[in-house]
Amino acid sequence: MRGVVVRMIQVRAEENAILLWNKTTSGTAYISGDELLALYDWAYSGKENGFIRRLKKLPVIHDEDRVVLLSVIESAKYKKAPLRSFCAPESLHIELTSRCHYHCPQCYKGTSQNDLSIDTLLLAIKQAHELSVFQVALGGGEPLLYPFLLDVIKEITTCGMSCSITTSGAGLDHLLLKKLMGAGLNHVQISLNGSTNEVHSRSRQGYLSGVEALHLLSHSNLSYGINWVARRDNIDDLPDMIKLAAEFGSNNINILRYKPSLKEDYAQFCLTEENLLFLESVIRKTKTLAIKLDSAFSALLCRLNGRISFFGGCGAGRRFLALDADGFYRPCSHIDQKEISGNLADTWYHSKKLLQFRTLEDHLSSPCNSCSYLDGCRGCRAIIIKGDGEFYSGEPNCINAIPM
Amino acid sequence: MFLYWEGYEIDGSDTDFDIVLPENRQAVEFVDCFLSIPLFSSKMKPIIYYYKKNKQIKISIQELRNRILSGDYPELFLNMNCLHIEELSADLTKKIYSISKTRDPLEKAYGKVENPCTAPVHQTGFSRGEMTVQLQIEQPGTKAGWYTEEDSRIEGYVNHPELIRSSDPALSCFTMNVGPSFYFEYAMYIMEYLKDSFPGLGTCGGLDCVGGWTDGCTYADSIYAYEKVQFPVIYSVKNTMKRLTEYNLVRSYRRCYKKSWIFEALNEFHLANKKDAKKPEDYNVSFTKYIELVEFALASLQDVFSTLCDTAINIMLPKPQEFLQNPIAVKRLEEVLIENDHDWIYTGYLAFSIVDGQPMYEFRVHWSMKPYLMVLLELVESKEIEFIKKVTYERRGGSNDSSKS
Repeated sequence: MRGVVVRMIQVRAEENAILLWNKTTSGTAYISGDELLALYDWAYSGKENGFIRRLKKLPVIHDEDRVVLLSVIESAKYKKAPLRSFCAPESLHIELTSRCHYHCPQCYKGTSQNDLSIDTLLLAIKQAHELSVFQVALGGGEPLLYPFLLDVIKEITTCGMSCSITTSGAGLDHLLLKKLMGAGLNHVQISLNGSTNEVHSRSRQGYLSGVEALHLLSHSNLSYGINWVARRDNIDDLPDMIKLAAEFGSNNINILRYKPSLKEDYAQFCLTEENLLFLESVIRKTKTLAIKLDSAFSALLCRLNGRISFFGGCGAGRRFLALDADGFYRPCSHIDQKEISGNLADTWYHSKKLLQFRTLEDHLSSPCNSCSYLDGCRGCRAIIIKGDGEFYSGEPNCINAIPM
Repeated sequence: MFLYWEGYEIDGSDTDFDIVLPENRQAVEFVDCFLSIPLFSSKMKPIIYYYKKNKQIKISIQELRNRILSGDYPELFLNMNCLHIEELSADLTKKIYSISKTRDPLEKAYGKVENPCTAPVHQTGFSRGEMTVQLQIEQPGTKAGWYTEEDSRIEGYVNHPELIRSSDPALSCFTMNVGPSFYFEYAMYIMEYLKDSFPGLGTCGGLDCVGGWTDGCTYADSIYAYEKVQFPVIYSVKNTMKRLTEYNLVRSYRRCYKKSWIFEALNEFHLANKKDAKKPEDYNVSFTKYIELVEFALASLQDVFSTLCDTAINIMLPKPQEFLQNPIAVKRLEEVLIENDHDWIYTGYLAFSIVDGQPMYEFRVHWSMKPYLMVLLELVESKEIEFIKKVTYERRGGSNDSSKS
């Protein structure tokens, strides 16, 4: 059942629950159980309690939403979600093109030079809208090279979904930025692997483009952050990266786990035990900037917090789905497994590959199967598959194997 | 369940929330909700601490929040003091009293007290006893497996058994410690207030020292403990006190330990509250000093409860045996005594206040002793116990001087 756009808040029925999404604040709320009953009570009778006031403050609800919420909550009784997943992806990660200005050493993409067919893309957006997907994250290659970019962003945001872009910054100038914002773009993430060109260029190209883009963004109203891939050859630079991000007024620094690339020997650049501990210590000390962690770093996230999060861990097939430049759905941008069906709903509900991701905790081998963080982590299949190739292998070099 | 997080999805990286987990943010919200409970005194700042190598380390509220957000924290303690029931707003007071009917079984005094009140005593410090509430913040999963199927069968003891029994490491866990001698109504109000904002809260009441839920020491104190009996001050405070003391209606005492706990009669008045008291004797004041104190309190522009507390003295009503000279008086008094007439039943308070511009004095006696007090007052009015004045004067050393009370 299609969700309903309620002003800037989108609401969607889930299995005995609802999801609410505020694209202005980028706030997502999951409500079930007693809280759902309280919300239903308010929607039905207007009876307000402390919980309703909390929701209004965030905000994820307004007084005008009562009627619509009532019908969505009632429909939640009949919804059936795939195993351990939502009824639809929260977000779609779309590879607009495999073309790029650069040929970064660490790139995991192939050599093809495709643009995603606009018809396929528009169909995917339509299907996403029908399923009430909340967010679309655009990437590539270099998404700024995509010829229909502005139209696509407009289409996404007109449907009520939010839109973000991950880019090297190459080609981003004042005029383009203005157009992107005019089309409704919500967020930009700039890829930068070092605080200096010297560090950055060990694994990426286009340092100047990235820095100039950050400079441009820092004078705009658009939300933006930095993507930084944690590698052995740039880990010591992290404190300086954080300083740089803070100086540019970046909303966040997103620390991604290095994944096997086509050109590099993974074992040479993946983090050692010492690197992991250093990463942990820098994150713990950082108070000046919001740090995000790639879900491939879920083990670290659990370790930092001493607990799991209810929706934490690998989100492939549970919270998001990827669409590649050839028009195939994949569990994740880093996984080469292509789906046969070109239909979003069909893929989400019936894909056997997605089912494998959804049953990870039932089949993972040691050391993951005995870890207390299993339900909130599940390791990274992209790294595992490109390693020894066994899908359900545990993570051999997990940070949680290192005593605290 | 309710979880909330903020963040835009980024292609190639499923990272819509930052390292501060939604559960940790919610835990901070919970603590903030706890701090906002209107029962708590804003005059006494919360005390927040943890232990490191057996040493208590105090932290601020902001540091508490930061620690919870970081997910990295030892067992944390947050102590709050409650307001006296007479310091609450009228609406809140009404709400508190309405909770009494939910107590199972109902307490003995419920429905029997016309003007319920409690001891007019300021809470001056934190203690594990009355009026202090401690929130214990622990890492998730700490209480996993603590509670059993059998626990969930005790009515009112466990709400949401599935949640309590869960060993789900994603669930935050808080423990609220109160008592001994906390008010049942206060505890239930706190739970209701928290549940109002956190409907998914699963709660489990801890068994007290006698293995019970409501009958043990935890809720031993009562908002119905005393009955208030109020009268206008006629002529003067001094005249009122002279009259009350010469009939032995107001005789101060202090509770002390001499081979056992006893109520020791005093020739001075024992104040129920005394700022900056350093030793027990600091609470004792002479008749003259007491009159000065009361007149000063009545003249100062402070709230009623503060005046009551400033003027409150511990009193012990005379026992029937003191009136043996008049057997009829004794009989009348004994008729209205409850069977269980331990010494403490005679204890109570006397205090003064201004009500609608009129100076008043009030007895606060054990809820079952109002009839006894009224009979005493009748006996005074009808002059049936005039003989007691002579006894009083003799006790004072044969003088008619009230200042030697």
